[in-house]
Amino acid sequence: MNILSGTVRTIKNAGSWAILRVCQSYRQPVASVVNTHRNHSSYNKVCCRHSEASGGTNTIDDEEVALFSRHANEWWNETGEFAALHSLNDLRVPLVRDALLAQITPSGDNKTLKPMPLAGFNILDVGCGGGILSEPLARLGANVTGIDASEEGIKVAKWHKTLDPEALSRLNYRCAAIENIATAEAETYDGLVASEIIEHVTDQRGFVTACCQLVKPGGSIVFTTLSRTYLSYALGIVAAERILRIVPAGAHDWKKFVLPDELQDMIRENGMNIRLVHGMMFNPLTSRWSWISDTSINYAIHAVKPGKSASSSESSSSSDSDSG
Amino acid sequence: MLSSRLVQFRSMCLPVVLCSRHKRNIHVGKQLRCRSKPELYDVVVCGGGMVGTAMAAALGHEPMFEGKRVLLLEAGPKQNYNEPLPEKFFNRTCSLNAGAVSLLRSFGAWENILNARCQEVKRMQIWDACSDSIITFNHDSLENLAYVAENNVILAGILKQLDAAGDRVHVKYGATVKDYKLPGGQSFDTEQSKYACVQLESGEEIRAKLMIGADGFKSMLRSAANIPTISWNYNHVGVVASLRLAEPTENNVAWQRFLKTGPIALLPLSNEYCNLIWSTTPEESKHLMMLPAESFVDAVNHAFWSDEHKNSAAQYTNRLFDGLLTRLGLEGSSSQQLPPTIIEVDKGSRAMFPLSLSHATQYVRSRVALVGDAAHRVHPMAGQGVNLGFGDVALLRDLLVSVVYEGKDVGSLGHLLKYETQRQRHVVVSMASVDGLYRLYGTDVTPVVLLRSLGLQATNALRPLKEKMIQFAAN
Repeated sequence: MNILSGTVRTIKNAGSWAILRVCQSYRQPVASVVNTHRNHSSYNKVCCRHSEASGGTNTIDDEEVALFSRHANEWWNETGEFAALHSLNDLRVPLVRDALLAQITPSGDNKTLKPMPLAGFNILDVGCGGGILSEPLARLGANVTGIDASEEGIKVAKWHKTLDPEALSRLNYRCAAIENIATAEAETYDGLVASEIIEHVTDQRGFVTACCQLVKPGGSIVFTTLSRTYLSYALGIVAAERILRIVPAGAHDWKKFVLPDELQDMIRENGMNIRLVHGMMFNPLTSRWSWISDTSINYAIHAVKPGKSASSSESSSSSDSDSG
Repeated sequence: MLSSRLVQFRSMCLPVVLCSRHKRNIHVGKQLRCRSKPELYDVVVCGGGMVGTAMAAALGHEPMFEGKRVLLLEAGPKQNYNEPLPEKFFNRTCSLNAGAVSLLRSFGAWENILNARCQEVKRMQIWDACSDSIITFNHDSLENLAYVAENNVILAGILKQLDAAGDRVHVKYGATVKDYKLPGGQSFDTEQSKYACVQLESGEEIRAKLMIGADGFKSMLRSAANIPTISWNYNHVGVVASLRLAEPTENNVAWQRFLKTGPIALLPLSNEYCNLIWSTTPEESKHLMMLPAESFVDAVNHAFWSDEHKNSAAQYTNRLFDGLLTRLGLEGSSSQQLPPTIIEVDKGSRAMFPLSLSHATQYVRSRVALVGDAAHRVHPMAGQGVNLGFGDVALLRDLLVSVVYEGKDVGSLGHLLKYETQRQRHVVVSMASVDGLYRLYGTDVTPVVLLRSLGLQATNALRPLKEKMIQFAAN
């Protein structure tokens, strides 16, 4: 792995990203590894297959590994460093659940509670990290595949799954990069979730294309991310990372944040229909999230691939009004 | 390699399958269990009293809990609820408010109780020994104020529904708890430390994602969780008995009079019988327990009818205030109904128990929630005890349902804290008001008597306030 990272750097210096694309084309440059890997998805790590070949040393990578192993232990502490991600489940799990349920009952009338509402749905959780979002989705009955380019994240996720093997029997994790599976598993998933990941991705357009490729016609993709506004800089970077320390310092690179309009455009370019754009707000005092109409800090987007599913009726016009 | 994996796989999976499918086939289950990890349940309810059994039954009948594993642990033997009710009334009763009834109805236990034996309360009259001030609560339009039912009847009604839940709730009778091992708060979980674990005297260990303590006011789970309580003893004793009325009437009024020594209450059981709950000093209670039956009956009648503690200043002011209220167009003093005369006490129904108040400063911890008396114990004066417990059950059940629908781990602290906040908001107010009333009426100092009787009169006159009180008491 270390060697590979070194290689990556060389390649980058040579200005050629072509080879790198094999495993992490949309990921951010390795030079910023130390600053960014601590986010819930350690996307900077290369694929596990390659890590076997490691042997050399690299100062940056050593630090990275040390930091990661420290933070891996923090993954599942609901009041620890990832508390905000744990409580974000309050919004994103119902969002994904209802988005998928709307595919089979578009009107949403018969919302009778069922113990395993998502039974039979195949979901891909992109950038699953330690599995904070994958586990609740699996508990709802879905067949969840969590992928993350970070071997460490996948290790944590796999380990944590064993603590509740019965309830999480439909959950599988793989160390993989999305564009590696985009072709092979094209149109496999009823739902794809890319939560708090795209803001770390370098080739965002390629990332979105890969996401759209993976869902079946009629299937949903759900993004949650941060917008690139002064407010998100003030709150997401200055307040959250430096003052309140809700998020590890350096977790985010503001320049990579995507405006809701930009993300919507990328999604539409892939022939998807936007269903919903909604703002999310984190209250650091209660450590709780709530839905707001304003999308200038955190927001979620739900889009549907046109196709044969019952849900494919057009409703994108109404969703645009949400995006204020 | 492969074979060792197989062994691992077997040891992980077999006991789970066997124990869940053939739960009652104890021999098979036990042998396997000894060699394997302790069984893991989603919810384990400790304590099979009214509240604990209701918790288990409520979850067992909850559609969202289908496929979830729920276990009820009870130290005692199984109660046979199919036996016909004895003609004599049990001496421990509860007055169930609308909230409790709606919880019991939600899983079918209410019909069992209605069919067995219970008495509706249409009116409640509370008055003072020192003055004529009086407050009455009626439900003219809406349903009844409350129902009085014997504890054993309530428990039997719930047990029947617990059995009706079938395999969805496992029950272990004769399960005495030896120790609890609870996860250590903030630290990183390991497979051993992640869940709450209960060790039984039999040596069996059971793990739970959520351990619910319904094990009464001396809750062992609460101590294991290091949750402190605030408690005080009233230095008072409750005397209970089943009393027969002089003549059968339409007996649907609950009577409560504040005596200098404590409140005395009569709750209707049938058209001929009432249940007595008399809270008094230890000395007087001993005396009451020793009295021959006829003298005891006299003492009860005297307590309801006597004028000896009337305070003339308070009575005079009351009359003036009453006139003022009438002139203001408010209803003034309600017409005071006279309590029924008692003629006989059921043999062997007299009993006494100490009264105390205690409140757990926290109701939850990671993977632990307390319900009922384990969380709060009140003076039985307002019949609130079990109502508060059933209120806990209803809220916790609703919360767990929403948690399951969000795919969350049922035992994580985040949502349990919501339960704590919402319940304490209600329980603390109830406890404070019950305790406050108790103290307010525990004196015969003239200014206090004056104020409280004026207060009672004013409250009685102000309909909206009274309706608010009824609403609050109903939830």
